Amino acid sequence: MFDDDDRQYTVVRNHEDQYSLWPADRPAPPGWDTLPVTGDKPACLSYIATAWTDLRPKSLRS
Amino acid sequence: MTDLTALLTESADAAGEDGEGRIAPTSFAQRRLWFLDQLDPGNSAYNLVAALRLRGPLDLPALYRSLNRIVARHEALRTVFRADAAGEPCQHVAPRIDLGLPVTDLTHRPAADRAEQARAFIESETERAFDLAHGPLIRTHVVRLDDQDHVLAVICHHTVCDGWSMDRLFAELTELYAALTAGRAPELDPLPLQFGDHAARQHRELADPRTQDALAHWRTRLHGAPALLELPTSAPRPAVQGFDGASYTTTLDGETWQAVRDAARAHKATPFMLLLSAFALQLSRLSGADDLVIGSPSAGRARPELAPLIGMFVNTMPLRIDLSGDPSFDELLRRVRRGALDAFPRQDVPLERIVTELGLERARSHDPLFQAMFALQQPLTPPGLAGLSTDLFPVSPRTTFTDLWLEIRPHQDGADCSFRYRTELFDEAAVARLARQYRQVLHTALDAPGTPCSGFSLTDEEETERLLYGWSRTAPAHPWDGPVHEAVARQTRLTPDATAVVFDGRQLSYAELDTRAGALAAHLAGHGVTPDTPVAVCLPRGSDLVTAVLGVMSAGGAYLPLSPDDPTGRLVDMLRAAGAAHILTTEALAPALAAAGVPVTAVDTFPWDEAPHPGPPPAAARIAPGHLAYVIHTSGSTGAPKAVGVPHQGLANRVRTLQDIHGLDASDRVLHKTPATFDVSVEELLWPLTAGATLVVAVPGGHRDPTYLVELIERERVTTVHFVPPLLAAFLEEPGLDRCASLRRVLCSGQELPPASRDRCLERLPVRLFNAYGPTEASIEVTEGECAAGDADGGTGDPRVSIGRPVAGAEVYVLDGELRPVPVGVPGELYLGGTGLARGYLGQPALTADRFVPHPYSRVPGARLYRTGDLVRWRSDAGLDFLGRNDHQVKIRGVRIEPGEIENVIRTHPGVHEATVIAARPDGAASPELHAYLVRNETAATAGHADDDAFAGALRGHLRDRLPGFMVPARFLVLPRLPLNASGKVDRAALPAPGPSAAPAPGHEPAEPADEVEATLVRIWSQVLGRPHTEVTEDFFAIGGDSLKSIQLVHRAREAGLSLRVGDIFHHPTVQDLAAHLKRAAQTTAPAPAEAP
Repeated sequence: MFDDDDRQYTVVRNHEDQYSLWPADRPAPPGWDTLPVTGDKPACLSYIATAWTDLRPKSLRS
Repeated sequence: MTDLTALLTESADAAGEDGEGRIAPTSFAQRRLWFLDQLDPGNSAYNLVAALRLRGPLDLPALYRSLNRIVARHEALRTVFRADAAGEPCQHVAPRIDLGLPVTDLTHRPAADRAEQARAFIESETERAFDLAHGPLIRTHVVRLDDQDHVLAVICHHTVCDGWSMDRLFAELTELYAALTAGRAPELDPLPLQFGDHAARQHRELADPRTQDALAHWRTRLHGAPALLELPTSAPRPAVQGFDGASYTTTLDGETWQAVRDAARAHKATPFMLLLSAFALQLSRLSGADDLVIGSPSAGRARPELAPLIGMFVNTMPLRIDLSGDPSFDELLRRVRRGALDAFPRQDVPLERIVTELGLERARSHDPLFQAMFALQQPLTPPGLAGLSTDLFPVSPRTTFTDLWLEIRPHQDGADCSFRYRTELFDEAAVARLARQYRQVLHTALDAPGTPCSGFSLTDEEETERLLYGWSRTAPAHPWDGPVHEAVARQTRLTPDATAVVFDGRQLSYAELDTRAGALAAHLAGHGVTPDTPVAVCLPRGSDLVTAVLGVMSAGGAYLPLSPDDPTGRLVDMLRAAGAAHILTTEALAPALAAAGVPVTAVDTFPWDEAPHPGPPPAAARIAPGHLAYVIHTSGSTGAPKAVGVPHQGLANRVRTLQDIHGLDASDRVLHKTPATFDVSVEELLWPLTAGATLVVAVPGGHRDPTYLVELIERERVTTVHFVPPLLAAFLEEPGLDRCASLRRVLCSGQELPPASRDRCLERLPVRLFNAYGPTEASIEVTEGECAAGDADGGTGDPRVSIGRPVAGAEVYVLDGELRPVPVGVPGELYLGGTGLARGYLGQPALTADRFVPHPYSRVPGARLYRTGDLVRWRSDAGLDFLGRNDHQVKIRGVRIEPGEIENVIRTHPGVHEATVIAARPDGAASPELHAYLVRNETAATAGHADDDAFAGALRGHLRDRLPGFMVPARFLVLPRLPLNASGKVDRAALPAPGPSAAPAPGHEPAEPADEVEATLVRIWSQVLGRPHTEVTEDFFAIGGDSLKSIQLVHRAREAGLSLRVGDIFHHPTVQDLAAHLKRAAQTTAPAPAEAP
C-alpha cells in the first residue's frame, strides 16, 4: 500500500506533529489530519522532507 | 480384527492366460497411471471406492452373480497391464475372471460400533495395493452389520474405472439384481464397443488435424505457466511427494447455493465458473501468484457411444486463470468463463499429451502443470436395489493424488464443499481454515461482485478480530516509572558494595560505577548536554564503555555508540549526521574525532578521583518517556547508515519485560560481549545492573573467539549470554563446551536461528534457550519465546524455530500489501506498533515518514506503525515464524523461494558448518539463480571429500533427496568462513561472486566417460534417446527424456547388469550423477567383512 508507483497519497500529520503519508482514496486513521498535499509518493515525501524540520514529538519541544 | 469369511469366493487368479485374451494399447491416461505405479509400486493413491448401505433382506448369491455379469460385460474390469519388450505398457484383457465377494461379519460386535468399523474396514481395503500386472483390478466386499443390514464396497484401480463408471456399475447392478432376484432375464443393451477400442482410437486420432489444433491451443494457452502453485503449507514440501491424504468438508446452506445459481445466471455463466473463480481468487491471494493453473476433471465421454462403458475416461483440463491487474470479481468471472468456454470443446486432448508437449515431466516433488484441482459434481442419486433400502455409504480413503482438491457436490439442502488434501503439506486445522476462507471469499463475491480481488478479505470477522486484537499482543506495557539508569541508581542504593562490572580481572562495585558515571554526567551537563542530546560513545568494550553509557544517560543525553574500529572519516560523518553534541572516546582517538567540531572527552584518562561527586545531575529529573535513550545506526538496503533514535519509554519497558521473563538476581553474572553498535548490547549492558547482577565484560574482539568465550564463561561463572546465531553455531562446536557448566540461559536474536543450532545448544548445554526478534527501529526485541528441543511435530515437519510471541507492550501484525491481516500460516510483512517504536531516522524526515506510517488498528488516535520489511507468518499456536527479509525473497522460474529454507536443509548435512543461500544474477544470465556459500565442518573436512568440488557434489545429492529440484542451488562455493558484519550477522553484500560457471562452455572438449559404468550408461542413453552421443553431464530430461523413456532406460540398464530404479533417474539425471549413485549403492550393499566370532 505504501510502495505503489501508481498510487496517489496524501500527507498526514498527527497530534505530535509527526508526518507520514496515506493513500489519497482512503480515510486516514483516527488522530491523523490530512494536509492539502496530494500526489505520488516522491512528491509527498519531498514535501515532508521540507515541512518536518523537527523530528521530536510536539510534546517534547519546549 | 475382522472375521473374513469367504462365503462366495474363488481365489481369483485373475487375468487368464496370455495369448487367450485380447491385447490393446493403453490410453494415455492409463499409461501415465501405470508409470506412476512403476515409480511407486503398490501406492494406493489411484484406488477408487464406492459403497452402498443395503437395508433389508439381501440376496447374496444374486448380488455375487450380478457383479460377475458386470465384469463379464466390461473388458476394462478384466484388464491388466504388462510392458512389452520395448518397455511400452499394453492392456491385456482376460477372457473371463471370477470376481470374489468376501463377506466380513460384524454381527458379533457392539451394534453401535458396526457402521464405523465397516467404514474403517473398507478404507483399509481401499488402501490395499492392486497388482497392475496380475490383477484383478476390481475388488468387491460385503460387510454384514446384521441380517438385514449390509454394506457393499466396490474398489477399482483408476486405470480401469472412474467416477462416472461407478455410477454405470451401480446402474447395471440395479437392473441385474432386480432381474436375477425376480427370475427374469436382465435387460441390458449390448455394449457398442470396449475400452480397448477407445484407447486404440485415441492413438489413431492423435494425428488428426482437429486433435493437433486442440493440442496447439493448449500449448499456447499454457506456455510460460508457473511450474508450481505455492500455497502456505503446514510443512515443507518433500523432495519426493507421497500420496497420503485426507479430506475436510464444509457446507454451503441452501440460501447460499441458490445465490450461487442466481449470480452465475446473472453473469451468463455456470455455477462451475463462479465457484472456480472464487477458488482461484482464494489460491491467488494465498500464494501471491496472479497466474494459476487449476486442474478440472471432465467426463471424457463426449461421444454418446462411450456413455454406457466402464473404464478410465475421465480427463483433467488444465485451466489457466489470469488474475493480473487486480480485476474485480465480475471481471475475473468473465475471464474464467472465457477460458472455460475455450477449454470445453478441447477437453478430449489427454492431459498426458499436453504435459509431454510442454516438456514438464521431471519433478518428483510436485505434479506437473497444476497442483490444485476443482470439480463441481452432479448430485448423487443412489441406485435402488430391488427389495432393499439403498443409500450411499460414505467412505474417505486416506490418499490423494493432488495437493488440494476442492470438490463441490450439490444436494437437497445446499452443497458440500469437500477439500481433499495432501497430509504431507497440510494439517487438518490448516484445511479447516482454507474451507472457512473459501466460504468467506464466496460470500464476498456474491454480496459485492464489483470488489477487486485485492479487496477480498481472507479472514472472517472472528479471525480478523483475533489476529488484530488478540494475537497481536500479550500484555500491556509496564507503566512508566522513570528511565533505566534511574533503576540502576535505585539498585545502587540497595547494594552499593555488590560487584557491578568485571572486566579483565578488575571489578567495579555498584557504588564505584555510580560515582564515576555521576562524575561523567556532571562533566557532560557542564558542556551543555541536556535531554535528547546525542552524545557519541566511541570506546572499545570495557568498564569505561559501561561507565560512559550510564554517564551519558544520567546527564539526560542519548548515547550514540560508534565502533573505534571504523575509519575515522566514516565516524565523523556518522556523528555529524546524528547531530552528536559531544564525543566520549579514548585519548588515542580523540585528536582524529575532533574533526567533527564538537567537544571531545577522553574517558580512559578521565580524572575520576579528582572530580567531586556532583550528586544526581539536575537533568535526570526532566527526562520524559519520549526523550531519546540511545541512537544506533542501521544500514539499510542501500548501505548508507541511518541513525535510529530510540526513546526511554521503550527501553525501560524492554528491560522490565526481560526481567519479567528471566528474573535475574544477585547470583546472576551476565556476559556483555555484543558490540555496542548493535542494539542488543543496550539491554545486555543495562538490564543486569537494574537487577543487582554482575556484568562480565568480554575483551574487545572476544565475542568472535569461542575458545576465549568458553574460558571466560568458566572463569567468571557466567550464567546468562546472548548470541547471534552464526556465533552460537561456532561456540557450540567448541571442544571445551562442557566447561560452561555455570550457564543457565542463552538468548538468541539478530538473525534466523537454525533448528540444528537450537537442538545442539539444548543438547550440549544445561541451559534454557530463548529466541527473540526485533528490528533496530524498536527498543530491541519485540517478540520472544523459549525453545524446546525438536519443537513441534516431534521435530519432523517444522523447519523453523519460532521467534515467539509479542513481549509486553509490543503490538505485532502480519499484514498483506493492503495492510489487511493475513490468515494464520500465510506469509505477510511484520508491522510493529505499541510501546517501543523508535522516534525515527534522525535527520531523515522523508524516510521516517515512509517507514513509520499511520496505525489503522490502534485504539490510540494518531499512533504509528513501523513497516519492518520482514516476512513472517503466524503459527497455529499464536507464535510467529520468521521467514526472511522481504527483499531477500527470490523468484526462480516463477516460483517464490525463501533462501532460509534451503539453508536449513544444507545445515542438516554433517559436513556443513554454516551456510548462506542468495539469489544472484550472473553476468549475462536471463534469470537469477541460487548460490550456496558453505563453511565446512573442520572435523568432517579431513574425513573424506577432501576436495571442495567432490564435497559440493555430495551436498548436491543430499539436497536433491530433500528439496524440490528448483530449490537446489546452481552453484556451491566453499569458503573458509562466512563474512560477518560487526554485529556477527552474515554480511551478504560481502559474499564473493563465484567464478565462471563450471558448466560446459560452447566449443569445449566433451567430457569422456570416466569408467565402464559411465560408458555403459552413455550407450544406453543414446539408444533410448535416439542420438549419436550423450555427454556425461547432460540432463536426461533436458535432452528429450521423459517418464516413459526413463522406464526403457531402466529396462536396458538391467539387461546390461546395472540395477536401477525409475526414481533414481529423477534424482540423478546425468550420466555422471547416476553412475556415482550406482557406485555408492554398490559399496553400501557389498557384503560387510565377517566379524570375528
